[in-house]
Amino acid sequence: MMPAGITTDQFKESFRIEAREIVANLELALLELNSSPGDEELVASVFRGLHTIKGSGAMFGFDELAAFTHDLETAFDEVRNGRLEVTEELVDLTLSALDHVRQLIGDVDTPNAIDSRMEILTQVQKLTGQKTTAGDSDSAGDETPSGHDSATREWLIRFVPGTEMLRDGTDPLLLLGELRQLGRLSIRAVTDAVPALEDLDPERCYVVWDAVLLSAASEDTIRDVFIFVEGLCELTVEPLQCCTSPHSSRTASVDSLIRHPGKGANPIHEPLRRGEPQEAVPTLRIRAAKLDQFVDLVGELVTVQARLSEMAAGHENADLAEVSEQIERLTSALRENSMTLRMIPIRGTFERFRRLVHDLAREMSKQVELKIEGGETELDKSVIEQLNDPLMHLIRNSMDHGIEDAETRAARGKKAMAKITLSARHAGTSVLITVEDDGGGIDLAAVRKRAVERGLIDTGALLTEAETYALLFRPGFSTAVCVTDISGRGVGMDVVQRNVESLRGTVEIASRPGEGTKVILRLPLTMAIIDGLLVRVAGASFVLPLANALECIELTREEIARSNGKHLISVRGEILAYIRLREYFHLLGRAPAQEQVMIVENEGERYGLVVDEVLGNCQTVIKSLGRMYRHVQMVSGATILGNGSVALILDPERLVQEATRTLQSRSRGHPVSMAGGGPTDCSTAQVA
Amino acid sequence: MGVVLEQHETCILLRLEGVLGVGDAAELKARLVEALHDGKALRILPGKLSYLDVTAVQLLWASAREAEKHGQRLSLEEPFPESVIASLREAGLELEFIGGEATGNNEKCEKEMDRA
Repeated sequence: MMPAGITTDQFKESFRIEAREIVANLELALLELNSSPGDEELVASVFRGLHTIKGSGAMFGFDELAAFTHDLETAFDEVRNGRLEVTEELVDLTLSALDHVRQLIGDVDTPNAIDSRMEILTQVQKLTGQKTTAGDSDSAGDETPSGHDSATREWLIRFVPGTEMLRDGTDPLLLLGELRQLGRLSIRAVTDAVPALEDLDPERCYVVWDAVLLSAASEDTIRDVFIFVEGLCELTVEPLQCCTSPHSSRTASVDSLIRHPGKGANPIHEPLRRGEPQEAVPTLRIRAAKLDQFVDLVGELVTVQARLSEMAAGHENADLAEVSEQIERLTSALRENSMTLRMIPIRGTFERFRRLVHDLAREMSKQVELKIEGGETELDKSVIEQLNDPLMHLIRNSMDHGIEDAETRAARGKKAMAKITLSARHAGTSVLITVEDDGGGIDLAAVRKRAVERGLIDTGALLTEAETYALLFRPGFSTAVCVTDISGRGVGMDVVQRNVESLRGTVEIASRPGEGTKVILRLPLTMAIIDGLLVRVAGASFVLPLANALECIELTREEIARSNGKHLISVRGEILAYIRLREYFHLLGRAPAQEQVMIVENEGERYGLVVDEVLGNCQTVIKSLGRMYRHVQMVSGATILGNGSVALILDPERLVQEATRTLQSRSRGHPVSMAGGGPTDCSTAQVA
Repeated sequence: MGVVLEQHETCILLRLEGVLGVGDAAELKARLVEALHDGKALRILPGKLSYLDVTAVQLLWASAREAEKHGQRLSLEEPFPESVIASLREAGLELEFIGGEATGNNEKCEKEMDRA
């Protein structure tokens, strides 16, 4: 029966979401099976995944999907029962089948899809030696003839429903009824955990069941009874070795087994008697759009709260100040909480590329292993969503241009199995996503030659390594001799840079000829709100990310004069270079007698940013500057202050990089001017 | 909804009807709390039940314990549909407080019910 207020369409949509997750996990399990074909756990998980898709699909009216999955499930039932071996052919067939499953889940069918599905099933049938049942919708609900061992044995079963199982619409009594159909069942309900009426959550199951089942069914068949509540309950199924008797006419008493373990001398009773049911951590699935809307509202609240704080500061009213402070604290907590909701681990995105690497390796006859590191690193949901395309292009490039063919690798003394590493790690307010391969590296000479051919640079142009790599990001640039299905059209790196820059990130390349290439995507942790330090320079307001700021010290005119124009300052004996924002941005007006140096740190390096005045901390809702300003990289966005004015949010790291770059280009082509340009001054200091 | 509460002078009657599942559990708890709060004898009449799930059983157990703690009378009275008892027994669930002696209070209550 359907809970009130939930429509069939909503159920179907929920099924689609869950089925897509199951397919993604199936894909990973299949790819792992390729390297560990004897892993019974993996086989069982593939079977369970297929069984769930089939069963749930049939329940929600996806009859074609259920019928199509049935034969695949049968194949893996044969595998888990030892009648069929895991081969590359079976894995590849199932992977191809999963592509069709995705289409069927989404109700998106392509021309010739039915023929293609029938072909897959025919091949599966050849492998299993069974009749294909696709197209026969009745088959969806059928039990396979397998799943029963010839010997009858006793099983000790403990079933602990999780806190969310009933709310999820599952009735444990119906599951126990289904279990009873497998054989002779003796059952005991453990009710010790049922609390007092006042404390009882009416929609939670506090009862735990211990049962002894006399049956010819296999462990997998018993577990299959609970397959739809996997994750919503704890289930233990253990054979009762001591009591096994194919001729036994009655099951052992559950109580006798559990209360008197000595008699049965079966150690498995001990864990069964221990402890109360463990509470599963409840989770809630929320539509991404709702979460985005929530975070937007929190952003608006942060802006209004800033305005309130400013108003309170302007009125000498203790009550108003107190309320303002309370709202500030609450807003801060709400903001942090909402940001946490948006953070998701990147592992899911990384894992998706296992299939791509597997398929490309087959296609190109290369042996490539994908290694994943730092999958637990969390990033803002919106950042992760936009990483798919760049990562796909980078991996395709590595596979096609980076990883050498087997002969070349052998000649270079490299292992036949090439490696692509996808990794993620935090670095200050950024996350570094790295795609690294142990291939042939980038041929700088070939890049230069191609750039000259395309008229991008002059024949005699002197380019640094970084400038040469930068050519790879030009639209349509490729050094590939021929265009393949995989890459070579020169659109990949362009897309990578464009997507990463739209996330306020950067792309860096490092490569060693013959050893490999590393592409680093530097991305902001979050796209929405940051803690900042509000500063003022020549009447203009700027925000510096607080995560970069270490301390603030004073800078007098005398100290500036003493440094002889070098823009260096001594901080407790350490000489630090600084950038005067007033000079760098060419802001007019006389500087105050005493300026402030914000000491900031980035990746272990410390430097100073000189401002007129530090106004204090602020929570900043980042607003994009739009496409027109996308090349102004030292500014990561803008924010609306409490008084309604706009402040630019600076990116200290990019500020220093830009300054250094300006100095380098001037020192190559032009004499360095110490008088006018701020960038020159600060870069001199940086180099000094 | 299969939970009907009837207030009488000397007792409270709680009639359980039809299918009682997780969707009715919050309502059943509220009615049981309300009935026990009153301090009168609570008579639960399950005669028209067709199915009782574990949430209802848990609530009835907890209510029985609560009543016992406060010296309050709670009876789950016959007739109790055999099919419901059978399905509970199959799951190892027993409702031991089925039945109940005919006390003076019950007799009074019966009379009140008849008058009603």
